[in-house]
Amino acid sequence: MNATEEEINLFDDLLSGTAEGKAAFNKALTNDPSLAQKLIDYQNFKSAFEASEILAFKNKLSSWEHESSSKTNVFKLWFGAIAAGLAIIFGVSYFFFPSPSKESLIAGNFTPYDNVITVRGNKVDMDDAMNAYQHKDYQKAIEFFQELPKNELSVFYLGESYMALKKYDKAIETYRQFSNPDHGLYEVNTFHLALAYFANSDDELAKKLFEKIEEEQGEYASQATALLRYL
Amino acid sequence: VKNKATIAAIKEDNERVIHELYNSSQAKFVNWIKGKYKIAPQEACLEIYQRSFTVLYFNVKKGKLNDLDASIETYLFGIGKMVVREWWREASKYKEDDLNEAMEDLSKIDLFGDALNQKSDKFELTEQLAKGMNEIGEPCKTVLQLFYWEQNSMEAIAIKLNYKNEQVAKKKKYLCLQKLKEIMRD
Repeated sequence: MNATEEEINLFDDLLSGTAEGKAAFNKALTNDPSLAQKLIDYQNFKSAFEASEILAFKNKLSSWEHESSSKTNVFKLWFGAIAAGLAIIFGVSYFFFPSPSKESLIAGNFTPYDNVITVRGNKVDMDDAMNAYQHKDYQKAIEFFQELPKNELSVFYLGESYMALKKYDKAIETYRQFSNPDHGLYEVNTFHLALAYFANSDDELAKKLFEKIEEEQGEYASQATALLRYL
Repeated sequence: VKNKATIAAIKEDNERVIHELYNSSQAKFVNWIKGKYKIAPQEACLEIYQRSFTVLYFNVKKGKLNDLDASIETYLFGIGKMVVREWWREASKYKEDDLNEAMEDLSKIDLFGDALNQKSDKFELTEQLAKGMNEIGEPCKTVLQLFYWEQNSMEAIAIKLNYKNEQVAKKKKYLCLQKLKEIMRD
């Protein structure tokens, strides 16, 4: 495809389907008939480009496959050693550490959620906030998130930032503003809200929410069941 | 509710949810392929699984699978059946009535044969473009993705990427295309 910048703009305008685009292309075509072949080449290129998204996704699946097989190998190597170690340690720790502290339970069940925001759609406005979040500069992230319009993503990650700084009352206040049960982050938001109640010693509310999570049998059901033993 | 949440997460490209769905359905799907269609090589089963998962992902993204009555996994298996049919079509080795039954909700889905079938005329170019996009880096990757993959207008791209105006976005896109061509040439 050897089209110039101007020609590509002409093709894009034509392919967008507007009357102006069509008129401009027809006018240019009368002056330069070679544009017809260049347009065919560009259309072929464009459809191959569109198909490359599908292939890129499939390649990503293959990379997950490699990732998990290498993890499995590491796991297999370490599993024997860890299992043997645990068999010895368990007997000792059972007497010395009869019940885990609340702090260790929170730490064991809370990891700030991954940055799942990519530069797509209006999410690009969140770049500064997500950048600070990803670099674990939660205080700065909070300042940025507070400036953004309220939506599921800004509310959730603001809650995560408060939670990471152990500002549990603020985290509760924030997570509670997440109200869309159809959103992909609803489940994790609910679980982290329950954890924040638990950390803040709002035991009744924590219990109620953990029970709800347990009942719904979602991703965090087993963690909720485990934590209910401490309430 | 869980189906809806998963579909919303896929549409938003929530990688964690997509990865979990991919991992959680794999063993069951591969065993099903091996048992039902007697496809023994693990590699072939994985290829069919990845194709089926890819078809599911893009049809959800394109809004062709919105209100699903059954679970996502059921649809994944329904798609799997169609992918197996394609898989066997060339050799015509396998004919079973069961393979010809498609789920009603899946009648409009696209199997993306052109993109996934290595024998397609454009496959080599498609493969080069996929590799090039993997190497091109930012901001070119996003500019090209937004235009060619997500079909945004140049005006929308200018707004999303904070470019001064549509003309600046067009210029950027052209320079990124040149960069991609160079990568593909190397």
